[in-house]
Amino acid sequence: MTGHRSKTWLMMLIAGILLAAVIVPMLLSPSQRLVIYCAHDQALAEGVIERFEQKTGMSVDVRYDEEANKSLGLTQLLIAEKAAPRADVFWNNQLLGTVRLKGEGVLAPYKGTGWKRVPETFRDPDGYWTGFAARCRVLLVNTDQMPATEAAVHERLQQDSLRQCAIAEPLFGTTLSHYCVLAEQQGLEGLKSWHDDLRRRGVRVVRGNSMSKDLVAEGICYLGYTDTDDAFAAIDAGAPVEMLPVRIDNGATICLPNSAGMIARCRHPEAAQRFLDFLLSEESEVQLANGIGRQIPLGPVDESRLPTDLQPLCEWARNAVALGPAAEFHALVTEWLTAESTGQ
Amino acid sequence: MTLTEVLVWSVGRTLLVSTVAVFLAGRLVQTMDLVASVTLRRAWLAAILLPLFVPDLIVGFSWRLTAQHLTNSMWGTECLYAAVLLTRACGAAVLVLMLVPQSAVTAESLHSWRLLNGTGGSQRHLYRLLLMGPWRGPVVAWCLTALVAFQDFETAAMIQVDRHPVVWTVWMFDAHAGNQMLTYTLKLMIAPVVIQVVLLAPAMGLLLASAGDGGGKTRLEDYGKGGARRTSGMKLKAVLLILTVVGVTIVVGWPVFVSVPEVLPGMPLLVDDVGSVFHQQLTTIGFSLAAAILSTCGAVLLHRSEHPLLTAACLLPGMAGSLVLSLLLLQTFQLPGLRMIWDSWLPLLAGQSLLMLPRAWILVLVLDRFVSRESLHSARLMAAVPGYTRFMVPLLWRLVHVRWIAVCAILCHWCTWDVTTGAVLRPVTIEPVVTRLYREMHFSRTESLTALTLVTLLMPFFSTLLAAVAWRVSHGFGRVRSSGFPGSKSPATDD
Repeated sequence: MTGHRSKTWLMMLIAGILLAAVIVPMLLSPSQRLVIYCAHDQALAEGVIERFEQKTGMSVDVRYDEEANKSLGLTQLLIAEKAAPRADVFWNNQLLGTVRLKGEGVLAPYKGTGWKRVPETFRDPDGYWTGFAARCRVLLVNTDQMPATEAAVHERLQQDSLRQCAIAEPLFGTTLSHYCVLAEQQGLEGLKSWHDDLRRRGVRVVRGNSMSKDLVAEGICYLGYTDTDDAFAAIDAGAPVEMLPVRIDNGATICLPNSAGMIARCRHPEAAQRFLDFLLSEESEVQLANGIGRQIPLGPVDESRLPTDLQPLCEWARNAVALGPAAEFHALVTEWLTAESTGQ
Repeated sequence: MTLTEVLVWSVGRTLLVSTVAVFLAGRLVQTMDLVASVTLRRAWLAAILLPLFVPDLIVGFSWRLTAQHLTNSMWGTECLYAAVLLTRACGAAVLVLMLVPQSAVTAESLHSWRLLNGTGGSQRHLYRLLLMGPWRGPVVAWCLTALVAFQDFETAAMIQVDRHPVVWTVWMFDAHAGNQMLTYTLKLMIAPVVIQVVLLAPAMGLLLASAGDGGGKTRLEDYGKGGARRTSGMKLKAVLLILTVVGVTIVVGWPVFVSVPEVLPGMPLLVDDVGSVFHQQLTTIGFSLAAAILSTCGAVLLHRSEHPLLTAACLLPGMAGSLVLSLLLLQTFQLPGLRMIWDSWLPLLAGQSLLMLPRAWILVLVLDRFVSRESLHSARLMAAVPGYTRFMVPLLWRLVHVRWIAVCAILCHWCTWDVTTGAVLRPVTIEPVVTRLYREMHFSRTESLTALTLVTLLMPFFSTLLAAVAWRVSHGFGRVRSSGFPGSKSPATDD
């Protein structure tokens, strides 16, 4: 009797859950809201999205990326959901993943006002994606331990031991983009020999750029590869650090923009286009430039509205290498790094 | 590094950590038994068990800077990681040793067997007697501890046990992150799953063979009692006390020391965002509780099922770990018939429930094997007698309900702190608090991180307390329904 009653309750519970799972989403009518998948830091992106909501009166649902997922995150999710996408817009905090999405048929072209104002180096000619608000790859130097000059950094990087130099795991994030640029410049074999040389001399490979920044800020390492937003985090925290741009052989810098694109077959194409125009506007770029990450505007902006410590970075961005050709090395570099890391 | 090398490293560490943990746990349990003061004994036990309830994420985050110092020191990183694992494993081993009833096989019977053995008696029977007797607790504890150590992911990822030394869970994550196909990752998962089955098999065998052996008292039941206890073994006591302090410092003290200065400055940040924090906390608790209840119900059904293959099939997804399980469900919910519920909370609930199912099954098995059926049956009979009901309610509460609440609370705690299922399977509009914590961690916003962690740690505690009070009140005022253990039978029908 008791067992029978328990069973009934259990069945009712399961049935209730299944029913609610189907009905609740319908009742909530998610189709009325613009859905953005955003890989950019929530603290920085939130302000821009709120401003869009205020200006347009539209409601937005945002799904932010979790660092827990690394590259398993939104890019993979968008590929998995390709047949019936939930998202209308993808705002990526870098470029290579977005280029991959174009190749996978996840993105739809849109050449709006935002696309038009961004230099050709940083946008897809067919309008599938547009770059904006960039970071640069930098070498963060602990000034208590060495002078922050290009000559001093060069000298340190030639030493036999790099045990006090840090770099993030290249299988993920912007270090992967950095590697793709090097592969495009030096060929895969050139990249491999550079990578092997670093490893042989004992470079500290850590799991992320923020960890590389922490090592330098704490004085555990005198030098570390990272991005400008992490470098500013250390500078703002009062750490004895300065940054220098990473330059490839021809002196060009590596500038990694945010990128955005509309999702193919999305439920709200018009709202998505309005959001993309807003996101790629001067107003949004200036707002992101004034955030804690000091993202570098790529389109024309009134430079008097930018923070003073961002001015030299704008110059670095103007000398940046084009990322389109580097994106073609993405699969090749990833495959090699995975094999190198897992022995498979 | 190949999968085989990674597995050899992981298994080696697991065997070492779990063996040392069970050895230490055995000594700790014996030594704590010698402490005369009940309060001191309880405090000591609480200190040993505390590391089990400190989330991996927090421990890893607290030790990440130290781990960074050790980046180029293989043995330094390994020792740090093993120390963290050992502290947690010790707690788990002590808990199991406390829960498993003391041996019903007397020293006299063992002695008799040994004598018989000398005169040609069966060695196999002696070992069987030892396994069902004094070895049962340590073997079960060793298996479960090994499983806990082998499955660790978050701590290893945070303190960078990813190359030399390495742990298979992080290796698997990196292998999949390199844009590998899911089928390939699943193929890689076969060996770790087989290892987990092998690690668990002795415990399962012993638990299944212990049917009806629920009469023995657990050590836990004796813990609140005073009485004459020996005060000898001061040196051993001191050594073990020092080890306990070191362990608690590693997993509890250091994280608290690192975090406390940040809690107060972080509180105003939480207050500014109180609506969203409250929503996230409620969502997390709701999901975790629902998943805990569902997995417990599922475990009870599986436990009653007479189809071992079905049981194995249901338990396997959870044993594959949260990453593979989440990716599998992600693909499943993209199938045409299921796509419509992808953006609902069902995938997340299903993911968490399936992930918890093997752990729930083990807990249910432990409860079932070691519930005292005679006491339960007597209490139920007495409860039905007019005039005795109100006396039997507290007894039934202690024998049945409080154990189930504890099972749900433990599962709820594990669900709350699982990052991967939440990160992969949540719908757009819902964000579990742990994924937010992870982000705060990544961007080093330690003030709001620590304040949010404190709130998140307290929420399950208060929820469980509330549930316990509600359950007790409802059972206290209503007629006693002796539902008891859903799968239990009366002693008369027990075979």
